[in-house]
Amino acid sequence: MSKPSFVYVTYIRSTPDKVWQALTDPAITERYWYGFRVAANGRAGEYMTAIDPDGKEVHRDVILVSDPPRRLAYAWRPLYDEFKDERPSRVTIDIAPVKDQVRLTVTHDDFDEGSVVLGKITEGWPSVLSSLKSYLETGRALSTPVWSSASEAEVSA
Amino acid sequence: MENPVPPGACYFADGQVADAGEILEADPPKLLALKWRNEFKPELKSEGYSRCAIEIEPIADAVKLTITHVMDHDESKFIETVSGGWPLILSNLKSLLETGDVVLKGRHSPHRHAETEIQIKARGES
Repeated sequence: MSKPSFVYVTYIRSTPDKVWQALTDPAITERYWYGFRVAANGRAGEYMTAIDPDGKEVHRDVILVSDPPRRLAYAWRPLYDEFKDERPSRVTIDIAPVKDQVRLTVTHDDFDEGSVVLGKITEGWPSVLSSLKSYLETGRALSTPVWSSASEAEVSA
Repeated sequence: MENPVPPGACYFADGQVADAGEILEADPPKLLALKWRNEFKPELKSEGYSRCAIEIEPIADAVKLTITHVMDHDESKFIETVSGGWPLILSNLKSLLETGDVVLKGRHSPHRHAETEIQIKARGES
Protein backbone atom coordinates (compact mmCIF):
# COMPACT_ATOMS: atom_id res chain seq x y z
CA MET A 1 0.00 0.00 0.00
CA SER A 2 1.34 3.45 -0.89
CA LYS A 3 2.09 5.93 1.88
CA PRO A 4 -0.39 8.76 2.41
CA SER A 5 0.27 11.85 0.32
CA PHE A 6 -1.40 14.88 -1.23
CA VAL A 7 -1.12 15.98 -4.87
CA TYR A 8 -2.70 19.08 -6.40
CA VAL A 9 -2.39 20.09 -10.06
CA THR A 10 -3.57 23.41 -11.44
CA TYR A 11 -3.04 25.29 -14.70
CA ILE A 12 -2.38 29.03 -14.51
CA ARG A 13 -2.29 31.68 -17.19
CA SER A 14 1.15 33.00 -16.24
CA THR A 15 4.87 32.33 -16.70
CA PRO A 16 7.14 29.97 -14.71
CA ASP A 17 9.13 32.97 -13.43
CA LYS A 18 6.03 34.71 -12.10
CA VAL A 19 4.72 31.54 -10.45
CA TRP A 20 8.13 30.90 -8.88
CA GLN A 21 8.34 34.44 -7.54
CA ALA A 22 4.78 34.25 -6.22
CA LEU A 23 5.63 31.10 -4.24
CA THR A 24 8.92 32.31 -2.79
CA ASP A 25 8.75 36.10 -2.26
CA PRO A 26 7.07 37.06 1.05
CA ALA A 27 5.95 40.44 -0.33
CA ILE A 28 3.84 38.54 -2.88
CA THR A 29 2.68 35.60 -0.77
CA GLU A 30 1.28 38.12 1.70
CA ARG A 31 -1.21 39.24 -0.97
CA TYR A 32 -2.77 35.85 -1.76
CA TRP A 33 -1.63 33.48 1.05
CA TYR A 34 -4.13 35.16 3.38
CA GLY A 35 -1.56 37.48 4.97
CA PHE A 36 1.16 34.88 5.49
CA ARG A 37 4.69 35.96 4.52
CA VAL A 38 6.45 32.91 3.08
CA ALA A 39 10.13 33.34 2.20
CA ALA A 40 11.47 30.41 0.19
CA ASN A 41 13.96 32.18 -2.09
CA GLY A 42 17.06 30.68 -0.53
CA ARG A 43 19.24 27.86 -1.77
CA ALA A 44 19.12 24.22 -0.74
CA GLY A 45 20.26 23.93 2.87
CA GLU A 46 18.95 27.38 3.75
CA TYR A 47 15.55 27.98 5.36
CA MET A 48 12.01 28.53 4.22
CA THR A 49 10.27 30.71 6.78
CA ALA A 50 6.64 31.68 7.17
CA ILE A 51 5.26 34.51 9.30
CA ASP A 52 1.54 34.52 10.11
CA PRO A 53 -0.63 37.66 9.79
CA ASP A 54 0.01 38.44 13.48
CA GLY A 55 3.79 38.43 12.96
CA LYS A 56 4.43 35.06 14.58
CA GLU A 57 6.92 32.71 12.91
CA VAL A 58 5.03 29.50 12.04
CA HIS A 59 7.63 27.78 9.83
CA ARG A 60 11.40 27.47 9.81
CA ASP A 61 12.02 24.54 7.52
CA VAL A 62 15.03 23.53 5.49
CA ILE A 63 14.94 23.97 1.70
CA LEU A 64 15.72 20.60 0.08
CA VAL A 65 15.76 21.57 -3.61
CA SER A 66 15.84 24.99 -5.25
CA ASP A 67 15.94 24.95 -9.05
CA PRO A 68 14.26 28.17 -10.19
CA PRO A 69 11.83 28.38 -11.90
CA ARG A 70 11.18 24.65 -12.13
CA ARG A 71 11.37 22.80 -8.83
CA LEU A 72 11.28 23.76 -5.18
CA ALA A 73 11.19 21.32 -2.28
CA TYR A 74 11.23 21.97 1.43
CA ALA A 75 10.61 20.16 4.67
CA TRP A 76 7.33 21.04 6.36
CA ARG A 77 6.66 21.13 10.05
CA PRO A 78 4.37 23.89 11.32
CA LEU A 79 5.60 25.38 14.62
CA TYR A 80 2.22 25.03 16.30
CA ASP A 81 1.95 23.03 19.52
CA GLU A 82 -0.63 20.64 18.06
CA PHE A 83 1.92 19.37 15.51
CA LYS A 84 5.03 19.28 17.71
CA ASP A 85 5.04 15.49 17.96
CA GLU A 86 5.09 14.94 14.18
CA ARG A 87 8.31 14.73 12.23
CA PRO A 88 8.69 17.02 9.19
CA SER A 89 6.90 16.03 5.98
CA ARG A 90 8.01 17.15 2.50
CA VAL A 91 6.61 19.64 -0.02
CA THR A 92 7.68 19.43 -3.68
CA ILE A 93 6.55 22.12 -6.09
CA ASP A 94 6.94 21.54 -9.84
CA ILE A 95 6.42 24.35 -12.33
CA ALA A 96 6.21 23.35 -16.01
CA PRO A 97 5.35 25.39 -19.08
CA VAL A 98 2.47 23.88 -21.08
CA LYS A 99 2.06 25.73 -24.35
CA ASP A 100 1.94 29.34 -23.18
CA GLN A 101 0.60 28.47 -19.72
CA VAL A 102 1.96 26.93 -16.54
CA ARG A 103 1.16 23.62 -14.91
CA LEU A 104 1.76 23.83 -11.17
CA THR A 105 1.99 20.57 -9.24
CA VAL A 106 2.23 20.54 -5.45
CA THR A 107 3.10 17.16 -3.96
CA HIS A 108 3.07 16.94 -0.18
CA ASP A 109 4.24 13.57 1.11
CA ASP A 110 6.43 11.65 3.54
CA PHE A 111 3.71 11.53 6.19
CA ASP A 112 3.34 8.86 8.82
CA GLU A 113 0.04 6.97 9.03
CA GLY A 114 -2.55 8.96 10.98
CA SER A 115 -0.83 12.30 10.44
CA VAL A 116 -2.87 15.29 11.70
CA VAL A 117 -0.85 17.62 9.48
CA LEU A 118 -1.96 15.69 6.36
CA GLY A 119 -5.61 16.45 7.14
CA LYS A 120 -4.85 20.15 7.62
CA ILE A 121 -2.78 20.57 4.47
CA THR A 122 -5.35 18.67 2.38
CA GLU A 123 -7.78 21.47 3.27
CA GLY A 124 -5.18 24.22 3.20
CA TRP A 125 -3.31 23.80 -0.11
CA PRO A 126 -6.39 24.04 -2.38
CA SER A 127 -7.36 27.24 -0.58
CA VAL A 128 -3.88 28.75 -1.04
CA LEU A 129 -3.37 27.54 -4.63
CA SER A 130 -6.83 28.67 -5.76
CA SER A 131 -6.06 32.10 -4.35
CA LEU A 132 -2.66 32.08 -6.11
CA LYS A 133 -4.31 31.31 -9.47
CA SER A 134 -6.89 34.05 -8.97
CA TYR A 135 -4.18 36.52 -7.94
CA LEU A 136 -1.93 35.79 -10.93
CA GLU A 137 -4.77 35.82 -13.48
CA THR A 138 -6.95 38.63 -12.17
CA GLY A 139 -4.81 40.61 -9.72
CA ARG A 140 -7.33 39.78 -6.99
CA ALA A 141 -6.78 37.01 -4.47
CA LEU A 142 -9.49 35.16 -2.57
CA SER A 143 -10.50 36.84 0.67
CA THR A 144 -10.98 34.01 3.11
CA PRO A 145 -9.04 30.82 3.69
CA VAL A 146 -11.03 27.65 4.24
CA TRP A 147 -9.40 27.19 7.65
CA SER A 148 -10.89 30.41 9.04
CA SER A 149 -14.20 30.55 7.16
CA ALA A 150 -16.17 29.20 10.13
CA SER A 151 -14.89 31.83 12.54
CA GLU A 152 -15.27 34.56 9.87
CA ALA A 153 -18.90 33.58 9.41
CA GLU A 154 -19.48 33.82 13.15
CA VAL A 155 -17.89 37.27 13.28
CA SER A 156 -19.98 38.59 10.39
CA ALA A 157 -23.21 37.03 11.66
CA MET B 1 -27.62 10.65 -37.63
CA GLU B 2 -26.47 7.05 -37.43
CA ASN B 3 -25.80 6.96 -33.70
CA PRO B 4 -27.88 9.57 -31.88
CA VAL B 5 -26.27 10.80 -28.67
CA PRO B 6 -28.09 9.21 -25.74
CA PRO B 7 -29.27 11.30 -22.78
CA GLY B 8 -26.66 11.59 -20.04
CA ALA B 9 -23.73 11.50 -22.44
CA CYS B 10 -20.74 13.71 -22.97
CA TYR B 11 -19.75 13.79 -26.61
CA PHE B 12 -17.21 15.23 -29.00
CA ALA B 13 -18.02 17.88 -31.58
CA ASP B 14 -18.16 15.20 -34.28
CA GLY B 15 -20.92 13.38 -32.39
CA GLN B 16 -18.79 10.53 -31.03
CA VAL B 17 -19.81 9.69 -27.48
CA ALA B 18 -16.91 10.15 -25.07
CA ASP B 19 -18.55 9.27 -21.76
CA ALA B 20 -22.01 8.18 -20.67
CA GLY B 21 -23.83 7.39 -17.47
CA GLU B 22 -26.72 8.62 -15.42
CA ILE B 23 -27.52 11.16 -12.77
CA LEU B 24 -27.69 9.48 -9.38
CA GLU B 25 -28.40 12.56 -7.32
CA ALA B 26 -28.98 16.23 -8.11
CA ASP B 27 -29.43 18.84 -5.42
CA PRO B 28 -28.83 22.21 -7.12
CA PRO B 29 -26.64 24.08 -6.45
CA LYS B 30 -24.94 21.89 -3.87
CA LEU B 31 -24.48 18.35 -5.15
CA LEU B 32 -24.41 16.37 -8.36
CA ALA B 33 -23.61 12.65 -8.30
CA LEU B 34 -23.06 10.75 -11.53
CA LYS B 35 -22.58 7.21 -12.71
CA TRP B 36 -19.90 7.53 -15.35
CA ARG B 37 -18.29 5.27 -17.94
CA ASN B 38 -15.84 6.03 -20.70
CA GLU B 39 -17.32 4.96 -24.05
CA PHE B 40 -14.63 5.51 -26.65
CA LYS B 41 -11.58 3.69 -25.32
CA PRO B 42 -12.17 -0.07 -24.95
CA GLU B 43 -9.59 -0.49 -22.17
CA LEU B 44 -11.34 2.20 -20.12
CA LYS B 45 -14.89 1.13 -20.99
CA SER B 46 -14.11 -2.40 -19.83
CA GLU B 47 -13.49 -1.11 -16.30
CA GLY B 48 -17.20 -0.39 -16.01
CA TYR B 49 -18.92 2.47 -14.22
CA SER B 50 -17.19 4.93 -11.94
CA ARG B 51 -18.96 7.29 -9.56
CA CYS B 52 -18.36 11.03 -9.57
CA ALA B 53 -19.59 13.42 -6.89
CA ILE B 54 -19.45 17.16 -7.48
CA GLU B 55 -19.93 19.27 -4.36
CA ILE B 56 -20.33 23.05 -4.32
CA GLU B 57 -20.01 24.95 -1.06
CA PRO B 58 -19.85 28.72 -0.43
CA ILE B 59 -16.76 29.92 1.50
CA ALA B 60 -17.12 33.64 2.27
CA ASP B 61 -17.34 35.32 -1.18
CA ALA B 62 -15.86 32.33 -3.02
CA VAL B 63 -16.93 28.76 -3.76
CA LYS B 64 -15.26 25.53 -2.73
CA LEU B 65 -15.68 22.97 -5.50
CA THR B 66 -14.87 19.35 -4.66
CA ILE B 67 -14.78 16.56 -7.24
CA THR B 68 -14.57 13.03 -5.89
CA HIS B 69 -14.24 10.46 -8.65
CA VAL B 70 -13.96 6.84 -7.58
CA MET B 71 -13.85 3.39 -9.10
CA ASP B 72 -14.62 0.35 -6.96
CA HIS B 73 -11.33 -1.37 -7.78
CA ASP B 74 -7.67 -0.41 -7.33
CA GLU B 75 -5.12 0.18 -10.09
CA SER B 76 -7.67 1.86 -12.37
CA LYS B 77 -6.45 3.21 -15.69
CA PHE B 78 -9.71 5.15 -15.88
CA ILE B 79 -8.99 6.97 -12.60
CA GLU B 80 -5.43 7.65 -13.76
CA THR B 81 -6.83 9.20 -16.95
CA VAL B 82 -9.42 11.42 -15.27
CA SER B 83 -6.80 12.46 -12.71
CA GLY B 84 -4.97 14.08 -15.61
CA GLY B 85 -8.13 15.49 -17.17
CA TRP B 86 -9.91 17.05 -14.21
CA PRO B 87 -7.17 19.60 -13.36
CA LEU B 88 -7.27 20.85 -16.97
CA ILE B 89 -11.05 21.20 -16.95
CA LEU B 90 -11.31 22.69 -13.47
CA SER B 91 -8.48 25.16 -14.14
CA ASN B 92 -10.34 26.29 -17.26
CA LEU B 93 -13.62 26.51 -15.34
CA LYS B 94 -12.07 28.71 -12.66
CA SER B 95 -10.46 31.01 -15.22
CA LEU B 96 -13.66 31.19 -17.28
CA LEU B 97 -15.76 32.15 -14.25
CA GLU B 98 -13.23 34.67 -12.92
CA THR B 99 -11.89 36.22 -16.13
CA GLY B 100 -14.31 35.26 -18.90
CA ASP B 101 -11.59 33.30 -20.71
CA VAL B 102 -10.07 29.83 -20.38
CA VAL B 103 -6.44 28.92 -19.69
CA LEU B 104 -5.90 26.12 -22.19
CA LYS B 105 -7.74 26.50 -25.44
CA GLY B 106 -8.56 23.79 -27.93
CA ARG B 107 -11.63 22.00 -29.12
CA HIS B 108 -12.38 18.76 -27.37
CA SER B 109 -11.63 15.86 -29.69
CA PRO B 110 -10.20 12.37 -29.40
CA HIS B 111 -6.90 13.89 -30.52
CA ARG B 112 -7.01 16.37 -27.66
CA HIS B 113 -7.81 13.57 -25.24
CA ALA B 114 -4.75 11.69 -26.44
CA GLU B 115 -2.69 14.78 -25.73
CA THR B 116 -3.96 14.80 -22.15
CA GLU B 117 -2.85 11.22 -21.71
CA ILE B 118 0.61 12.02 -22.98
CA GLN B 119 0.87 14.66 -20.27
CA ILE B 120 -0.02 12.12 -17.60
CA LYS B 121 2.51 9.67 -18.91
CA ALA B 122 5.20 12.31 -18.94
CA ARG B 123 4.45 13.15 -15.34
CA GLY B 124 4.55 9.53 -14.29
CA GLU B 125 7.98 9.10 -15.81
CA SER B 126 9.52 12.21 -14.31
